[in-house]
Amino acid sequence: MNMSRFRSTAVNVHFRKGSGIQTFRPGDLLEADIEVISDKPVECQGIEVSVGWHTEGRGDRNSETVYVEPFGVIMELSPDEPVKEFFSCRLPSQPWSYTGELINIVWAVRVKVIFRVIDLRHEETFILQP
Amino acid sequence: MKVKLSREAVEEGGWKKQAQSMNLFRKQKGLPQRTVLPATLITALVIGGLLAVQADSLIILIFAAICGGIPLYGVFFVFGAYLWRNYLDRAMDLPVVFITSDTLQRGQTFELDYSQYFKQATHVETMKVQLILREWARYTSGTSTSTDSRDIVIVEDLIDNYPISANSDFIHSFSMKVPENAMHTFTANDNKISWHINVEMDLPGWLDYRDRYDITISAQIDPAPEVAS
Repeated sequence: MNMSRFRSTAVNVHFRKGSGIQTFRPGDLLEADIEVISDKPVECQGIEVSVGWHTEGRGDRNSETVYVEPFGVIMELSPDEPVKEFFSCRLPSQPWSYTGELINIVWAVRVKVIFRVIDLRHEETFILQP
Repeated sequence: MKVKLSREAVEEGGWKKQAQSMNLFRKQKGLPQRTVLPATLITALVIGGLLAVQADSLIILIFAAICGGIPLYGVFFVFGAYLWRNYLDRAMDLPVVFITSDTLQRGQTFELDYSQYFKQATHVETMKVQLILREWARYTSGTSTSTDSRDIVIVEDLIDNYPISANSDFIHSFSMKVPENAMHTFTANDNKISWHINVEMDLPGWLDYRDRYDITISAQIDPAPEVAS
């Protein structure tokens, strides 16, 4: 689990499968909890969760999003009360995660915390492999 | 029931150039560029040299080379094409290749049946059949776009010193297995992972024969075993 921090706000993604390197099979159900924590009170315009793949390596980046869920309610983030959201999505059959010489295919859960000025983005990678 | 493999399906960009240079017979009526180009250049030099002997000034020499040389290059080109086709036709026919299926799965064993009719006696010094994974990437740098590719040999099968008599078929079956951890064929706009079968045949006294066939590795998998709760 990585944690992205922007000013006073941090995002955690907890896969329900457990900790460590997350490996899913094509067609599996991905379930995760999103936790947004802030050290000081701040207004958040919404949270958007998406799941998808992108390429890394020599070529230009190609990507596809297979799932998007917006939690679009204006909420007040406070130090004492982290915001928690749950989502689940059925993973597609392909493309599988891949690490090659020129091309890598990376799957990730992406969380965007929308603020009034700049959004906080967090990415939690996982492996899709049969 | 096996599937006949086609030597077509050449991809865009850099793949096309490479495939053309690899395949002597790809264009039935065409010529291998690597032979024609040097031959044309040599002819141009010879003609230019002959004209230079006659010419007494540089301008006349250039004029003579342009006016007299270019039509002669054309004649040579057509004649050369005719000779080349005859040369190939006297040696062998195009191969016919069958495969268990042109869409395979990881872990699957497949057979490749290769058949080629030879008109003249020869022997195959070495024949190499390779299962290749190709990574292809296109990238933009400023205003220019470039491509890069890597061929990774996954499985290879070899035969050597195989005699072939005149007017007979060279027939051989190759058995190969797609690795259990193989990646499936993947196509995105700027990134591709593709699978191919390369055939290389070294025939003493003849130009080496090379060809490439495209296959697909499917992302289909067997369902996971049920876990008892």
